[in-house]
Formats: sequence, C-alpha cells, structure tokens
Amino acid sequence: MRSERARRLGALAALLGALCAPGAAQPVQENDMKAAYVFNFAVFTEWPQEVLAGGAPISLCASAANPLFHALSQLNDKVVNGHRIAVRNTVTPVRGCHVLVLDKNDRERWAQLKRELAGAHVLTVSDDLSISADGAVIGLSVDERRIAFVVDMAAARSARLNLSSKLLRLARSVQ
Amino acid sequence: MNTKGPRLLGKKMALTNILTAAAALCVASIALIVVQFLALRGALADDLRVQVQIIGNNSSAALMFRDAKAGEETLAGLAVSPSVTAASIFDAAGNTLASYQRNTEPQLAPPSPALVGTGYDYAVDHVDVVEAVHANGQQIGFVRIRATLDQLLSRLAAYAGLTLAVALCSLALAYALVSSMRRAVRRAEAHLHFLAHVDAVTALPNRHEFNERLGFALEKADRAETAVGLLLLDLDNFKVVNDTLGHDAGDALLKLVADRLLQTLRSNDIICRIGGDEFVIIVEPGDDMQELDSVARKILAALASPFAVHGHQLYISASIGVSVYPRDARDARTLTRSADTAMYHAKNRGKNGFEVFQMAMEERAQKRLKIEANLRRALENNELQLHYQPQIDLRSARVVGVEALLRWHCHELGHVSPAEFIPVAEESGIIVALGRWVLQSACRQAAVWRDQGLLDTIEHVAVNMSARQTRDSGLMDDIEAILAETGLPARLLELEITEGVLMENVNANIDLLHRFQGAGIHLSIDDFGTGYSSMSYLKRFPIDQLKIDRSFVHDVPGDGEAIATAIIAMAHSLDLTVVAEGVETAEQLAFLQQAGCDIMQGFYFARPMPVPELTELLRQRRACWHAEALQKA
Repeated sequence: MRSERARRLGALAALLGALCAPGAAQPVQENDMKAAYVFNFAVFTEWPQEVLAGGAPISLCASAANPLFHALSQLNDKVVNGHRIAVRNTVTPVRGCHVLVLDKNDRERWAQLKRELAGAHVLTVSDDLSISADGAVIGLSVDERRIAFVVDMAAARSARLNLSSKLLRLARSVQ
Repeated sequence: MNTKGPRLLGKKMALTNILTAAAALCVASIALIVVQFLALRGALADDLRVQVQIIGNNSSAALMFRDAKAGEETLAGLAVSPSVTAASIFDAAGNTLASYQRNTEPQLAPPSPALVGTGYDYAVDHVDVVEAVHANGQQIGFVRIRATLDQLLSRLAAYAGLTLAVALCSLALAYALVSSMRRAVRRAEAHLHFLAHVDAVTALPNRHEFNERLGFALEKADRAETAVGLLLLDLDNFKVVNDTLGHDAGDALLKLVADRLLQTLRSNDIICRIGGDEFVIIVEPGDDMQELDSVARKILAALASPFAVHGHQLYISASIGVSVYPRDARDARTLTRSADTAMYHAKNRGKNGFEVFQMAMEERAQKRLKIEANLRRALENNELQLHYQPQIDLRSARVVGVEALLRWHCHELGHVSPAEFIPVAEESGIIVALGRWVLQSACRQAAVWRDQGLLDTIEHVAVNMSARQTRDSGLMDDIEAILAETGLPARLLELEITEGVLMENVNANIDLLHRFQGAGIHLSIDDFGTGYSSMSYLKRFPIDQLKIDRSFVHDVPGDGEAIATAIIAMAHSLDLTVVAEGVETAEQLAFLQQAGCDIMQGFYFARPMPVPELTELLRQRRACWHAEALQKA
C-alpha cells in the first residue's frame, strides 16, 4: 500500500516537475495540471469534523461534461490527509460533495447551485472567470502559461472551510 | 663563595615552575577553546535546525505547487541570519525548486541520502543542515541550509585572544609574585648566611666560617702540594678592658683590632674572629716560614699603637701562635690546636710575642692535658698529701711556724711537682677545690697538733692562696666554716698570698685582706720582690709579714745581697717580720742572720716532711731547734 502510494506520488511529482521545466520534452496537458492543483487544494483544506470524519472518503464532484473530468478522474482513489478521493461524475446533489469543480458549462446552474451550497461545507473550485468572481472559494486561471489561483475568503468562511495559510500565500490574490 | 650554585639552581627552579605553569595554562586554554568551539558550533547547528524546520514547514505548499517564487520568498527570510550563506529547497527527486545565496556563494547541491539521515554535517568552514519536507503524509522534498563558521571562528579568535591575554596576565602576575617571593627568600637566606658565618661584633668571618675556609684551604694545599700557615692571635689582658670599661668598650676595641688587622694584612689572607679575644689568620701559601714570621711581626707592630675607645687610650698587645699545615698537623682541628699551644707558649713567655709551634710544645701540652685529667681525680683518689716545712726563728732558734705544701703522687704519672700541676690547676679551675682541700687539711692537722699540745710554741700554720682562690667570693665563708669546724683559733692560721696575685686586683684584695685581718688571720706576702709592688700599697695592705723570694736568697752572698738587705730594712721599718725561704747553705744563713732576717725556712734546716715525721720532730725537740744548726753558722 505504502509503495503504491509512493509510486503515485512519484508520478504526480514528475507531472509537477515537468510543469516547472519549460524546456521539457513532453508538453503536459493543462487539464492534468489543473487536476493536480485541485488535488493540492484538497491537501491544504480542512473540513469540519462532522462532514469529513476520520478515514471517510472525500467526494470530488464534477460534471462529466467538464473538460477537466477526465484528468480529475485520474485522482480517484488517491489519498488526501488519510482520506481516499472518490470522483463522482455529477455535481448534484452538491451537499454530498466535498470538492466541487466547475467550469463555464456550469454557469447557468451556478445561481441554483449557489443556493444549494449555502451552509454546505464544499470547496468550490472554478475554472471559469465569471463563477470565480461570483462566490467560488477558489478560482483557477492561466496566466502567461502558468496556472494561478485566487481565493475568496468570504466564500471559504461561509462554507466553514479552513484553508491553510501556506495555500493562501501561493494565491495570486485573496479576497 | 659557594652561594652562586644554589642561587642559579633557584633561578632555574623558578623558571621551570613558570614554564610548567605556562604549559598547564596553555593546555587548559586550548581545552577551553576547543570546548567553546564545540559549544558554539552546537548552538549554531541547533539554531540552524530550528530555522530549517521552519523553512521546511513553510515550503511544503511551494513544493506541492512547484511555486519557485514562493519558495524563494520563504528562503529570503534567511537573509536576517548573518551566518547563513546558502539555502535551497529540493523536491523529492533532488531537483532544486528554489535557492538562496548570500553574495557569490555557489548554489547548494541536493543532499546525499546519508546527510538526509543524520540531518547535519560539519565541515571545516561551514555547517550544513537538512530537513525533509512532508505534506499529506509524504516526503515531498528537502531544505538544505549552509551556514559559514566565519563568524563563529572570529568570535572564537577573540575568545582565544582574551584567554591568551588573561593567561599572559596571570603568568606575569605569578612570575612577579614568585620573583618577589624568591627575592624575599634570598634576602632571608643571605641574612641567615650572614648570621651563621659572620661575627656580629667585628664583621669578620666567625668560627663556623673559619672552619669551612680552613678546610677549603687545606684541600687546596693538598692538591697544589703547598702549605697553609695558621696564626692564632689572642689579645693580652683583654679581660681587664672588659672588666674595667664594660663590654661595649670591649666590643669597640675588638672592632678596632679587626680593622687594624684588615689594614695590615694582605687581601688574600683570611682573618676570622673565632671567639672572645681570639683571632685567626689563614696565610696561603704558608711554605715560607720567614713570611709567617714577618706577618706575625707586622701584626704585633700594628697593634702596638694605642686604640682610642670611648675616650680612653688603650694599649693592647697580643700573643700569637703559629702553626703550619701539613708540617705541624694533618687536619684542621689539630692545626688549630697546635697554633693554640704555640700561642700559650707565647703568653707564658711574657705575652706580646709570637711562637712557632714545635713538637715539644705539643708533648708538653699533652702532658698538661694528662696532668689535668689526673688532677681532677686526684682528690677523690686521695692522691694528695700535705707536707709541712718548719720555719725557724733565728733569735730563739725555735720552730715558730710550719708551711703546708701540697704533694701529689699520681698513680699514673708518679710524683708530680707542684711547679707542674699548680699552673694546670689554676688554669683549669681545679685550684678552687684543691685550695679548699689544702686549707681544710692544714687546719684539721693543726687542730690535731694543738690538741696534742705540740703547737704551744708555734705561732702559725701557713697555707698558700692561689690567685683564683682570692677571686672566689665564698672564700671568707669557707675559711670561717673550716675554723669553726676544727676549733682552730684564727690567729694560728697564716695565709700566704704572692705579691703578683695581690697586685693583680689591688682594690678588691685590700678589701679581702682587711676581712682576713678582721677575723684575726695572719697575713704574709709570698715571693716578695718579684712583682711590681707600689710602696704606697704596701702601706695600705694590712699585712704582717714578707717572704723574700727564694731567688734572692739563692743569690746571697753575692748579687742578691743588696736586695735582700733592702727588703729586710724596708720590712722592719714598716713593722713587718721577714721570712727568708729557700735557705740551703750556712753562708746564706750567716748573711741573712747578719742582715737581720727574722725567720728562715729551707733545706738547710728541714725539708718539707709528711705529718708523722713532723709530729715526731715536734715531739722530740719540744719545738726547740737545737743549737747546733745555728752554731754551725
């Protein structure tokens, strides 16, 4: 189990390593990088005990239409702080999710989702600028071929999520 | 002369002590510095480990997101830590994510697995610490920090400098203390040496020093096959100065004598004062007898002029004995004794002169020693006897007195003449006991005769007093006790004191004589004409009788006539009776009878005889000398 985990982590590190090496032989897919970011966000986020008991899996939800879905599904069964990731190909019901990844396809139902999310402890990660600007906890963007993110602390607080200061330090902006 | 060796040794010892202390201090300092270095380095490593842990903790997100900028920002915080020269964040594969370098330090390489295991590494000029970074339960990278030891070493250098300065200061202080202590010890030693070897009165070497120097001189003479001359000098009549002017004057005189000796003698002659009024001069080499003679003469000449002491002009002479090593003795003790013997001969020959030691002197001295040793036992062994010589009144032809004369038959030496043993007894002090015994025996015998009625016609039993006895303060008590014990009337006792003894201490003796006279004791001056009597004293002495010295009697008729006649005339005019002793011939008897002498004593009449013989004589003659003897004249 341990060696398997090490292998997986090794793969992730290799992935990230490639990210930092612009002259690397293989161009890495932007989606894979974003999926890795999502994984890292989960690592630096703390959920209240009642929604994520010790050893319970983390539900990572994204609609199958999301371009990231394929990359995200690679995260299935990976372990974050002792919690196995379970990838679900739906965004509803949102209350069953721990991490909810959205993109521009989700713009229409965002208003609806936002209402459902009120009082829920969900880490919303948006790959769409308008959703990011409208109450998503973390918004991803690509800036000069580098992936960056912004954090909406008001949204994080209302979701009662505790984001690590280490993560906040890396954010391009924190509101 | 032999103080240089120990002094050098002392200096060497002190230097060795200081060097030992310096070495110990050096070792201690080095140990301290090493300990200090290890402690400082340990503290530095601990600091770094705290820092590397903080950096490691803060760089986990940067590693996860591969955010080099965030990593570098984290590392930039190290800029405030002055000893940190370089730091890097590596991912798990060893790729550098971010690095920090102070100035132009090279970028750090990824840590080896061994370094990751231990966490730190000490090099000569730097310390490396490595911390693994964990996140999500995984090791995701490392942080390596390198700190230079330059600051530490410069602090250590300052510390070492301070230690060195303190060590040097304490060494200098210790050296100063040791030096001053050594100086004090040396002063004390020098003072002790001075006290032990120098005579305080004259500042000359003392007896102790003399023994050392003489021993040294003899050794030198043995090696060089030369001789050593020893002059022993004794001041004549020094005691008189001490007794009359006090010890201060005596000491002052000794100092002046010492100064004069130093001026007179060559610088290589060694002059020591070995006690009392005795000085010795070691002359090297002493092969030339004439030179020794001339040294002795020079000394006598130098002492001839008067000394000014406390306002008095003192004339002092000396008697010198000369002995030569190895001719006269084979060792220092004997050599000194030989010189002493020669000196005594010089004294006996009339003082103010010198004598060179001869073997015959030694023999005489030996005999003297033997006599003294035997004389001390003579009283206990009953070897002494009194003989009595009758004294005849010329007018009545009767025995009017007897003189008690001491005889000694030693069981070892045989018969010893009083001329030999009396001076020995005088010198050794035995004379006091001897004199008391004579007085006691004579008085007891006289009492016996008196009880037998044999002393009816006899006026006096004469006993001789020695010089030493007259100085004995208990003399008068002794005489009174003896008279009381024997019941002998004081008038029957006659004390004979020689003119010489009487004149030695006139005032005290006049007093003594008055006490004798007061007790009723008859007094007679013995050996009259040989001393230096002053006529005025003669008048003042409460005496009854003069005895013409036998030397004048011997010379009559002839050279002695004038003196004998004069003494008789003078005595008669002073109302004193005159005794002639040593009368041996009819011619002498005739002359003295003619001259008016009152009483005679001598072989012509009777030899000194033991008690039974005299008792018989007294009994037979009924104390009346038969006329034949007188008629012969």
